[in-house]
Amino acid sequence: MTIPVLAALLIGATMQQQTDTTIAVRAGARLEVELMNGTVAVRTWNRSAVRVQATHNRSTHIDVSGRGPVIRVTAERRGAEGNADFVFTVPADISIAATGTGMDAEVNGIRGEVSIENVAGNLRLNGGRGRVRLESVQGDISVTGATGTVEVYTVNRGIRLSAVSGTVSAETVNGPIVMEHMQASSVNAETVNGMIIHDGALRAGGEYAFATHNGAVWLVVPEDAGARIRVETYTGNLDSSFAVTMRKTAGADARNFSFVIGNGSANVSIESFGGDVRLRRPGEARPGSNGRNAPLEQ
Amino acid sequence: MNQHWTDRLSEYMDGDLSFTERVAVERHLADCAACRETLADLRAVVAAAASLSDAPPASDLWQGIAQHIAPAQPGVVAIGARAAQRAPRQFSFTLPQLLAASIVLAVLSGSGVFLALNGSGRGPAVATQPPSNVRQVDTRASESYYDAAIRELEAALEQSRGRLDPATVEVIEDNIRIIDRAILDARTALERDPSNQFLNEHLENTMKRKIELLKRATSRS
Repeated sequence: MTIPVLAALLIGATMQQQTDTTIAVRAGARLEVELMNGTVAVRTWNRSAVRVQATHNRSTHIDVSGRGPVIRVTAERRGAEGNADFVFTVPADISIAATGTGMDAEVNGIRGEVSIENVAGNLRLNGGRGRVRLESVQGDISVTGATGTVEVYTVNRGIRLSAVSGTVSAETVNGPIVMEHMQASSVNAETVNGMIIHDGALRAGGEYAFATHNGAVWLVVPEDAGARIRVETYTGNLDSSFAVTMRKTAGADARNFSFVIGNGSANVSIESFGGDVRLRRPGEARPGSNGRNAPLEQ
Repeated sequence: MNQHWTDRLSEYMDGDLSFTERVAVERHLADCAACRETLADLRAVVAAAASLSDAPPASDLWQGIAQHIAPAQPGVVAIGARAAQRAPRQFSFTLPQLLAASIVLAVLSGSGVFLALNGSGRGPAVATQPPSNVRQVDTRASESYYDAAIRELEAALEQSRGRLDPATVEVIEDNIRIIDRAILDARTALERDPSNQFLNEHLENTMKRKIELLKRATSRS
């Protein structure tokens, strides 16, 4: 085979191709997406149908299949997962499950369950209801307005949650966890190397646990909140901008305190091995309180 | 300490409590020295009881570990790693049973728990005499168990290295080093302050974080 022929074949294989197909779905359907590398963008419309638009190489095949309530879309290349950039337009009540290796995903306006898993790439969700789960290794994760059981896990990046309600679990290893405008009744946030910020409601009967090894914990306590707060640190300090009556926990260590605010109806546990614990009132200065988002970089 | 908390401790140790209940127990434990002592006793008994049963095979330990040490079941000390052949096994007892068992085990157990926790004897040497301090037994037993789990998962990750993207492996290894530094911090602090409840729990939690990361990394290969 001559070089020009090889070049022509190579160009042909790498030329971008468009796939555009629409498939009718019933209420409460589920969209499953699998690819290797690429992007996934999801937006909503008022039709009971899923539109799949994909940009991909000629050597990649986009398979769209429907089986019962499940619409399955895969990018395939020679029997394995392939690369593609997807735009999905879906009814808002659909549930979504997307997996990829190097995949950026942005999902907007969904009122169903959401599950997104990648290795590298940022994950952004606006909406989600019921079980909401996002997992990455090396990607920032941002969730806004989700409600239900929200589970977020990454390893080497930060997590930002905004206006999330329900039960929240957020974990990373090397990155901060920033939670703003929160309405959750239960929050468990853990990092090893990074700060944690929680700014939002502390609901009566709610349970809130924040733990980091190396980083500060900022807790914004609403004026009308009632909470029993337990603070444990080894080398950090407790700094409150408002008066609290602290008592040293019986039989415990010098930097182990508990105190009650208001009626004490919420339970808050804060742990940082080496970081400070800072309690603030709404509107007071904290990272990100200057109108900009608190940084997710270390 | 009252009966309510006594019952909760057993459930807490078995991982049967919801998140809310678990936090409530941990909050109570922070304030109640008697319950902390009781929990330490219970854990030591369970660990010792486990050591008296069939010893885990060393070769496929990591698969069992991945099922046995789940973050959703904090406090469970589950020993035995034949997960591939049978369902995960927990040692679940009522408090009276545990207290009765502790008397028997005080006689029977010696170094067995430590030998069992270290599989076929690989890994760092640990004390082979039952320490006099129950709290220390609990902490060291947990540490040994987590150490064993970590070693097996690290070996599994090493074996699967070729199937993972090198950049991903690098990220995971960087983050393992971050956790290792945190573990070292906690251990160093514990050397100075061995009875510090927060440090003991922080070390345990940080080791669990490492196990969780290794589990996720190996599951992706």
